[in-house]
Amino acid sequence: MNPRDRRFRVAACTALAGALLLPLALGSYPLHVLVVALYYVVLASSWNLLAGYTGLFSLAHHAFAGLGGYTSGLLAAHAGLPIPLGILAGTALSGAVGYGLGALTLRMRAIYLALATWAFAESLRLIIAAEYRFTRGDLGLRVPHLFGTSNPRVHYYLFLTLAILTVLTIHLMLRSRIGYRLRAIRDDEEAAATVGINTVRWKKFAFAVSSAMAGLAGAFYGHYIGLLSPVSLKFTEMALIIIMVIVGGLRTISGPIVGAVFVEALSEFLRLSGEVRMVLFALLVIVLVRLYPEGLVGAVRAVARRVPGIQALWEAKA
Amino acid sequence: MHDPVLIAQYVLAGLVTGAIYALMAVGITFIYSIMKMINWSMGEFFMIGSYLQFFLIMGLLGSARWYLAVPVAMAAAGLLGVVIQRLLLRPMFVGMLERRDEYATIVTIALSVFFRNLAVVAFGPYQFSPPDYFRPVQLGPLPLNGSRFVAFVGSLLLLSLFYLGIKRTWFGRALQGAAQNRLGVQTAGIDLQRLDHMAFGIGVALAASAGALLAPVLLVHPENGSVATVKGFEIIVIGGLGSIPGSIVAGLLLGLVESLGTVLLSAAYRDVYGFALLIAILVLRPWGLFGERERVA
Amino acid sequence: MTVIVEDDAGTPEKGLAGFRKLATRDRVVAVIGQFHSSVMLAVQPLAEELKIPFFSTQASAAAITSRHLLYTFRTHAIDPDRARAWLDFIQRFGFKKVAIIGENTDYGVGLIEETKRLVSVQKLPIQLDTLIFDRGTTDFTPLLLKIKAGRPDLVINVGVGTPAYLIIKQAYDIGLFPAVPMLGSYDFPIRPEFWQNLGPVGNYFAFISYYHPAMPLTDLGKWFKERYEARYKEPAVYSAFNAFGQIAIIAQAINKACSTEGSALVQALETGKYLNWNGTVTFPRGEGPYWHQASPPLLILQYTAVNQSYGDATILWPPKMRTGTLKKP
Repeated sequence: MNPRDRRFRVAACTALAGALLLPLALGSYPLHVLVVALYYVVLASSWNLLAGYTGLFSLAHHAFAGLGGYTSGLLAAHAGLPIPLGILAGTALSGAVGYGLGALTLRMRAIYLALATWAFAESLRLIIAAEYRFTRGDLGLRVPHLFGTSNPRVHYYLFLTLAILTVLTIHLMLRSRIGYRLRAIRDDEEAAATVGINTVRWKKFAFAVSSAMAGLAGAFYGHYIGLLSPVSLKFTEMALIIIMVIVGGLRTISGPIVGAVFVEALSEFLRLSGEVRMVLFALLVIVLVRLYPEGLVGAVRAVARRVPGIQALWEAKA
Repeated sequence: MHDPVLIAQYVLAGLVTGAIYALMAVGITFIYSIMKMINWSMGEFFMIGSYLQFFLIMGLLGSARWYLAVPVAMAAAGLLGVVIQRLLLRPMFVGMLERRDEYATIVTIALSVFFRNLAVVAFGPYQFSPPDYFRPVQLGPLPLNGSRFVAFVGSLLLLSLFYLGIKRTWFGRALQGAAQNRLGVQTAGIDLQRLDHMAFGIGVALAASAGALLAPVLLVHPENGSVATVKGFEIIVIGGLGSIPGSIVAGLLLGLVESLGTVLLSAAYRDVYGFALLIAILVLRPWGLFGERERVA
Repeated sequence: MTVIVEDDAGTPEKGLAGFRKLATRDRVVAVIGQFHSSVMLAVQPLAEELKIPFFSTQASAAAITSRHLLYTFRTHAIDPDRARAWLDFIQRFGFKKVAIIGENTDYGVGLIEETKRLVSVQKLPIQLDTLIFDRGTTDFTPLLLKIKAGRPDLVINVGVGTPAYLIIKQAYDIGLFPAVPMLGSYDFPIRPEFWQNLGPVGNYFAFISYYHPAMPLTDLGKWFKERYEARYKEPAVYSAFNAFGQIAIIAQAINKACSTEGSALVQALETGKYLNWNGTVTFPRGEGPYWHQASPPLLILQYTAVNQSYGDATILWPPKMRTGTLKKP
């Protein structure tokens, strides 16, 4: 295998080993922060698949996470369904609704797509809040814990697995012909159609897959936090996902990972008020997107390229 | 069955609200028609307009001269808009041919988050209000709050001024030209970048004017822009992106639908009616009621 | 006592994170300050697990204490208290038809449901008309017109913040208020912005308050009031009294238990009598939501002149503190 691949594998294995051993060194508070960060890694990566790689700038991604969470939670609370089945149902429903939303927005150009998905997400939030007799609305729907405990130590491994599986799936998908098709649709939909790509099918596919991933993450997350509320369907959640992906780097695999961990860790580390954090993040996004469209990952690469020894060192290690 | 006087009141209330919504929407649709982008932070310019109005009245001009504060608030917001356009949005047209929509969406969403949270940090989450602009008025069977009446009249006034400005002045015609064909306008020798600055400034000034006029009605607080954003977007879609008469008609329609829907159906679902209508139009008739079918080059 | 502050951003996730940090990093003895019932409900199990007394400062859902968790305590009015207070007020003042308009948050829905429940359980001769609105609503006119058409004797305003003000304004505009008395569900009218935002429109508004200068304060309360007013140059407000009181109670509990250990504190809190800002409180294991619950006394006040300070407002309820009658223009 070529030196670059070998380097990548070594790095990946080290990272994995580190990640597996982390809970031994960390207390429950940092572990909780990591669990939340890993949840956002799944959301950010799956949104990036849709927006960054297929060019469908959807503003409803957080709503699918919420849908997954509420489906699983409501089934557990009202029908007594065992949690794993509930999570499955949540994932399936999110995927199906995502597919439907994809179908509905097929012919819409970027701006209309953004508006339609935004309207969909807001409507879902309002409906969940309005049907409080069923969903407990703002009072919060208490949801059973997956392992009977809210201890982050156990959930860390769960979410780590989830994140790795998601990123791996996305990576493999993008490396395959599917990725080629999605990228073609993003770059020029009409040209893609003329080359014989079934843009209708693949756009719906992208929506279904990314929504299912969000639903899966949302369902697990609901059972971790133990309480669901329409607060997680507010637009600020979507803005947060966008911030994470942009800060990390749109259209890269590692971007959403870096972005999610960075933003979540920073927001806990800088324990300022929630509003001050958002002001800083918004500013960061504006600066980055204006100057470094490739996000932090791109910025780091750009800086690395400029610093004269690093490039040589990087090559030499092979 | 429902009392006809009551229904008349609902209808009138809906129309008054609708005219005000239309003012919010016109700014959004105007910016779209010139720059072909949606400004997701329009609601925050509405909010900025309301804060400016409040501080101008309470700090400088006094409540009797509220009508002087409105143009000042508009001008200040417009200036802020021009600065933002120059710093952040100009690159959209200088080089970045692809991903333009994406860039605009990301930047304007970030601006929206920025301003909204900045307002909380700077002024706290409290609600303020300047004193009512006018004494209560009776509009047929509907007793109407004075400030709401002022906002209604003010909306109609500003909308008319704007319309005349677009149709009759040279600058207005340049803007119309840019809306139809950006390249053509450039070849005609008009500085498109200056036009963009001004267009953005005017658009946000309109949103700020709605905020200033509605300060006593919707109160001044960091979240008051959400209404403007939600209604504004619903209206531009229903009326047709880029169509100003469309925004006005759609505004009135939305006000009516919501007013009647709230009392005849369910109050908690008020916003859902608008959203459902928005999605339906985007699916069935994306160019809205009055928009033109766009040809993508 | 050192106070460390964390922001839960109103979300369960940040609430859990904040609690964990306070518990594991800062090693706090107790946690107070919760305002959102949903966040409190999410964090309570964590308090149980980490064995740290957790006080609700203004989260009012009954479920918080009716869960009978060992480490949960509360010194705030709960929905049953409020509902009971105004139902008694309604009966004493002879109101037969009451309209309640409430926001679809945990607070609004909880209060309305509790009121309906009490009316039906006690078979009260009151006709209740309830309307729920989404908290983002800014135009209440259609709803208020509907309420006005029903000719109620009293309207109860269960909005918090912006909706509360908008309802008053818009009810005034359509002539519903003050011709029909309106009652607010919490003490926002004592804030300075009330008169500034409403001007003469705010006159004749009645509201629930947890404090009135005519009420006796304990030495603890007086101590706090003096220092608060000296520093902030405005009358001390209930939220401040309440939070301070909780810290003082925790300090007393530590003294009683001679320990800062969680289970010892719980023992002490359950068995002792504590000096609060407004009287003595206890935290017995009561029935239903009255578990570890110390409800403050509630009052119903009414403003009878523009720009009136709340110390001058008429006390309409409870009967033993009444200072005047319900006024209309």
